[in-house]
Amino acid sequence: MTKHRSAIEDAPNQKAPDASVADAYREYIPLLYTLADDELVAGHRASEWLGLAPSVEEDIAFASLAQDEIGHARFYYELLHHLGEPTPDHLVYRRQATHWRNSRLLERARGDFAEAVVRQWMYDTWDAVRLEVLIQCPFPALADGVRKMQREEYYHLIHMDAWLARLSSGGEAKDRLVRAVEAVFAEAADLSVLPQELSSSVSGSLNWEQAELVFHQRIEQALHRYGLGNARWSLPGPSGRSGDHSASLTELLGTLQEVSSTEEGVRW
Amino acid sequence: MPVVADADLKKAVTERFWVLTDPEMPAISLADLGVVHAVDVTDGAVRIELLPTFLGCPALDFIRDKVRRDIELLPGVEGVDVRYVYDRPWTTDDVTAEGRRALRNYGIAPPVAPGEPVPCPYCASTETERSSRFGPAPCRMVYYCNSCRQPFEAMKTL
Repeated sequence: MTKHRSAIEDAPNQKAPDASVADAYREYIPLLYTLADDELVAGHRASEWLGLAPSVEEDIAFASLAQDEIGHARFYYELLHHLGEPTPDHLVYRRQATHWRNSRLLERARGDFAEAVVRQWMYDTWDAVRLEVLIQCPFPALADGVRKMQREEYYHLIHMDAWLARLSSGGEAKDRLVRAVEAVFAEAADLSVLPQELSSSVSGSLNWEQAELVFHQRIEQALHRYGLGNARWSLPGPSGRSGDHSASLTELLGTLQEVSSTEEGVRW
Repeated sequence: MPVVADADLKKAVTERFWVLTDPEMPAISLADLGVVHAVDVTDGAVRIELLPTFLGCPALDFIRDKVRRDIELLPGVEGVDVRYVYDRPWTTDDVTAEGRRALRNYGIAPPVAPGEPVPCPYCASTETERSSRFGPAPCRMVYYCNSCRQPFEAMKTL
């Protein structure tokens, strides 16, 4: 009964955002845009499965996963705002496609369920590796949020892994899975690409090359485990990290921004 | 001089967290949920730091506003600042023993250590199985009790 009393600490008096402190981390802005936009776009696509997934439990699973991803996006957008960027609502509802920095893989229009599973698995695998790197970064506000996200993302990855195990058992499911792996690999090249605008001091501190190797290794091991063939990493092509997107992102933003674009300052 | 001494006001604020609840789990107080990270009162100005349970939880803004509106009504309060902090992640270990009891009474199985069976909140049987890792709120999963044949929700272990 007394546990909570001792757990409540004294709030420090001075914790107001200090402009000079915020300035020190502005170098992270290009990286934060890739993180935020990845999560928002992945969350939006996941939410499209509500009502269409193979079972009612899966409707809920994808909706819940979408809610988590969009919550993570919001954390990153708020951090961006704290560093002097526009408000989260502005960033989501007012930006044109060329200003988005998400991976092209995530904007891909909804295919069949196998593709949704493979894409989410590929992304969650990369995200897990990326969070392992970011938790060590010298930007405390980012590292704190990442620590929180890691615990939530754990559930996404084991859920997708369970689907891979189930669908890879054979028959039509396996055929669709193999096709989905091919389709996803064709778009996954920019997933681990860092934005060009990122300063060398930040990119140098992140050890991204090793993260990419670990990511590839985890994907290859799983493909082998589920009998899905070898990895087909494609060569770098157009990159969402530099704002080069497919028509799918324009379509997605058309839906996402439809209401907000009806008139200035609209509330819903 | 504030009308109410800061120490007394802090005590009054802290006590409100026994009463204020999560709208999605009204059976459990915010104190028992373990989301109250810190309280400071200086010259009647109240600063409250809360821990988010799940970053995507739609109740976060609601809880923050509800806490602010509630604390503003306490005599002697000269302003309330409520914010979420990420200094440390909230985990299910933050739920108090009383909180676990309240969850169970409400029909939600409290979090268990990974790999442990999840006892049914209705009949306490461990003959239960998970129907889905995702439930009606980000913090919960769906289970089924093979003993009393009831579906029930279980809190995710974070």
